[in-house]
Amino acid sequence: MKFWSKKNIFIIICLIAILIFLATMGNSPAVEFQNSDLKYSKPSTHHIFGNDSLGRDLFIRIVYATKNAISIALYSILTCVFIATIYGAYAGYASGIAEKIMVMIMNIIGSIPDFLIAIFLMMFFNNIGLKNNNGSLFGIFGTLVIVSWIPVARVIKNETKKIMNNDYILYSKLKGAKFFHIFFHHIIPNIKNTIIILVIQRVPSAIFLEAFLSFIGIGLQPPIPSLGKMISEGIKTARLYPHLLIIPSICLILIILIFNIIGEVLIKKLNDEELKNE
Amino acid sequence: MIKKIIYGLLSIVVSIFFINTITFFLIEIIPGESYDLSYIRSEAVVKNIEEKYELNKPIGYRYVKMLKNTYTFDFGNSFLSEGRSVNSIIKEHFPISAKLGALTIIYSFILGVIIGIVTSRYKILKKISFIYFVIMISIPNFILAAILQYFLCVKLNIFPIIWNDNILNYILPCITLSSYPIVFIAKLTCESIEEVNKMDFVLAAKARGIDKKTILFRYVLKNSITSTLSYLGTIIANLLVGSFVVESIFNIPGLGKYFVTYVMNKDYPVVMGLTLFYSILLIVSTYLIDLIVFIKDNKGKKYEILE
Amino acid sequence: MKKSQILFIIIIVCVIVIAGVFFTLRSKDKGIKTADKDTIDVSIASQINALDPALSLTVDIRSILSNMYEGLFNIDDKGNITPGVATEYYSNDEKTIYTFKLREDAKWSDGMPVTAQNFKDGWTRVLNPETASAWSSYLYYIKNAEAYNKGEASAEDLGIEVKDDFTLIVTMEEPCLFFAEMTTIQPYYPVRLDKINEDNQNWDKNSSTQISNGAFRLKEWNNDVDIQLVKNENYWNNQEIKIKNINFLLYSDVTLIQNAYETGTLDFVEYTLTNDEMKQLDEIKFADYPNIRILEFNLDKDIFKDIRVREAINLALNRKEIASFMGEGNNPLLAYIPPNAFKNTYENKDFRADSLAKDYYSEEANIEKAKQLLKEAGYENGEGLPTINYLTNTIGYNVKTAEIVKNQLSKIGVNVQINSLDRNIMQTTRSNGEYDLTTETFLSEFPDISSYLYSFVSNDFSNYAHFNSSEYDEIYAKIISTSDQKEKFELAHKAEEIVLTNQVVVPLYYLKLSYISNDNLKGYIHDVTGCLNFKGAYYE
Repeated sequence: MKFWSKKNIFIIICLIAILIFLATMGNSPAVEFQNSDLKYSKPSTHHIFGNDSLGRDLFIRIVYATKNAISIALYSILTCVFIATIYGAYAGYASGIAEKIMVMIMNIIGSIPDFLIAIFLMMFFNNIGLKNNNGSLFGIFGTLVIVSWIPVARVIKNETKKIMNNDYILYSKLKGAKFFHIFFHHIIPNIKNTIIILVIQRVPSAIFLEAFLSFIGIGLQPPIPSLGKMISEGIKTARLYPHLLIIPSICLILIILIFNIIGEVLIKKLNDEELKNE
Repeated sequence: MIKKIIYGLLSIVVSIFFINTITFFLIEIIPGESYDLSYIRSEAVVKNIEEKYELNKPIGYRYVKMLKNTYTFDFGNSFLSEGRSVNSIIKEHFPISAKLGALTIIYSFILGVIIGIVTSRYKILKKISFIYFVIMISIPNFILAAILQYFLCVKLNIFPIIWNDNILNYILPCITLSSYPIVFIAKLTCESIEEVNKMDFVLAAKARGIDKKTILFRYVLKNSITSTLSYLGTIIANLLVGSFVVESIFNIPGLGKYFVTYVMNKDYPVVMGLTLFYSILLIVSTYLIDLIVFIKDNKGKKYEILE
Repeated sequence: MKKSQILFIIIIVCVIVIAGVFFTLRSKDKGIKTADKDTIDVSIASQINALDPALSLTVDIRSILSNMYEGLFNIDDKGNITPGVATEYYSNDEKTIYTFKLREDAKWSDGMPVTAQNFKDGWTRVLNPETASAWSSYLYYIKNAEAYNKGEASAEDLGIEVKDDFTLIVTMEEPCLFFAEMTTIQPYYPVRLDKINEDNQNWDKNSSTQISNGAFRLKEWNNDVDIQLVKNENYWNNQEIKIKNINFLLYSDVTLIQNAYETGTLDFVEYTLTNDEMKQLDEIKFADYPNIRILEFNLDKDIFKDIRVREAINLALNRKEIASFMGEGNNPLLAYIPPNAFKNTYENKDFRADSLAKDYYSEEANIEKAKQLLKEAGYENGEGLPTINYLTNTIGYNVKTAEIVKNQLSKIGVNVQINSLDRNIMQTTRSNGEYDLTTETFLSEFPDISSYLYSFVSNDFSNYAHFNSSEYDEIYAKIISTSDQKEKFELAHKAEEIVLTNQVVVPLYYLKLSYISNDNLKGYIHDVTGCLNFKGAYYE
């Protein structure tokens, strides 16, 4: 199978390594170190990006905020796709009442505007009162999963349905294969590319949603650094201290851009390979 | 056909019922009171307030009352803004959000389709537009809004800051909100034009000597509009989300601007009313679009059979 | 591409570039508007829950109200009361019966005379359990008021008697020295019950039913846009009023407010911008009205049972640094009642400056003593001390303070976990007692020293420290019922001493009310409850 070429395996291993690294990077105390003499200072040699309203080094905060954004997005999308794949595949596999019920659930939950769900969930999680407001981390993660899983599940279901019509599958079913067997041996290999495309496509929107929620104020809570929060505070003091607005904005735009580009490139590559295979 | 319509209407009703229930219990689980505790110094006051807002009634009673309210679409008065009925809040603020939304949709469609057509024609533009698209998708709409407002309103004074309900006020928010949809519509149009261009009946038309323009408008566009129409549903959903931030930044007194405030204050009537309203909007518009697409598809089928 | 198309594109690009250069170079005139000599545009509030003496809660909304209505007496920025609707009052020796004589030429904005009945109506309405007004407890001084509010008595039992149209006799539940001062605050305003009954829900929003008796009346209230007040031609003192219109613009967006002030659209900004945001526009002005920020220990929690732990925390804080972090206008608070809180003590001095006043803490931290106290309590370097749950809300300055305190306490080994919740949720959590430390802000909402002291009384709803001291309760009861000014303030100092020597709270800093305004505007005051009043305002 052409997909598992050396190059692709290498890329995947790199991504996983980045994920693990990001996840284990704890919050260094430098993120929270305050120094009132340095309040609002412009970029200098000691502090490359300057300091924010509490005198904290902006550079370190941006690094950690970026790390948070990327790792939250990656984790939540992976979890979301994992859940959605199982759900969608089963919905495609099942027929009759079981399928109708599953589709109905998807439709009902999907018709609630996702922003509303996000607000409610974030308000709930933000106020559980875990250590250092880590409740908001968990909250964003949960919110992103819940909000994104339905469209993914729908696509998976449709793809599965197409596969289910294969004679191959009917034969397997006749032989008595259960769901999980069919799932691993027939469904997954065929929708592998779709899954990868789905994951890649949704990461930028996950990053955006997290920044958006933090911008409004119901996302990651301080002292956890977040790009959206930094931007919203930067807007208020933009006249005198523009660097507090410009630098986080550029950073956020850049990471979304990078993931979008990765996404487009990968999609093109996968499409080209599929065309070659046909 | 009729069966499909009935089935659709029924699913709308069921969806609304579930949405109401889920929203109601979601508000319940958020901790906090629906009123301000700041100046309260005695238990008697707390009792009086809870009595007044019926917050001390058991949850079953309030749930049933909420369902009844949904049926009549009258959720009573807001807790936060004493005396303002939920319906009057919606009536006052929704038209503005609707105007903005409609403008955005029209603008993104027109511009998106034009860009799509143009890029499908010239190969060079396709490469440039690809870069442009990727960049535009990557800029979050709230950053774009903040930048536009800062440069065009504050520094250069071209657009007004204060809301006067004239066309100038609508331009910048419209540009901000449509940046995302335009890209998608353009892409969709471009791709579907290319797909349709490859089809037999287009080749046949070209062979018959009909010029490019007529081919474009008569055959190609009609078939590619379908896919863009189904995107309309997503746009509407995204508009609801985007409007929250854009309305706050540009200080537009639309519905979205205050929604977050009402949720945070656990203002039951307003939150239930607004959620219901938004959900109905979303469901009905999705349903209508599905219907239109369905009709179009069937019409198309008839056409092909005749050919 | 054809040549003509290329040319077209080049022309368009040129036009855009030229336009851009033109607009950038055009000098934007700062527009220091020659002030409309008779209109003030103010940004003070953005979310108005109601313009109702019974239901308006926060000081920004009550400021608007104080320009529309007038109570029996008015109060100024020094704490002196001046005649309002009432010309004089007298009370019996025990201070249990107050008689107010009303002027006969006071009129409502529709021309009807202001009578004693209007006051009785207003006060009864506040106390009516159905109105569910949070201010009812501030009227409990009146006989049977608390009982009526609890539903245990009827409105007829209230100790308010309308002897005739211009005489009001009020009977107190207990001797009260300062009832006349109390009548200056918003819940004690008179109301027109007939107008309220015309539209129970929305009477405060329409100029036809919102009839007021103050210097200005409501012209228009556009929801979420503005509140327009216009001079009340029927006000008994309307010759003195120089301003014709006041517009309260209900903006909430920071950039918008900043820009409006810069271009002269706004003349006055207060509360809607933080100090950092105001600083960018104009030099900040300060009103004497102080606002204190403290932390309260939850004395029910085991972690704080030992007074040495509490004292250690108090000593470990560098209040000077906290105040400097919080910015201009914030000063270290070294006791509980701040300077400029009450200027009318029996020595005619400020509470903080009279002979019994002293500082209980120093500006700098005393780390050695703090460490030593911790060690004595058995938590050397903080070992063994559980993490302290610090409850605060999500408002910017509170979070900032929390982060600073956490940082400072880590220096003696004390671990703080910040629990910042949305405002409503934080309030509920606080009233449920689910915290070790909590933030509290005090501003004096009525002109008496007991406004600072009631929250340490044992069964008071706002006693978040759960302080339980019969000595304190007795002293407090005496303070509000004594008729001797000297004794009152001596007891107040004693009360403060009890609170502070028992390490019940952690005073942090106090700040004065800050605002920016058009320099040509003069004559406005902030009274001692923080309400901004434009009655005497004028443009130079």
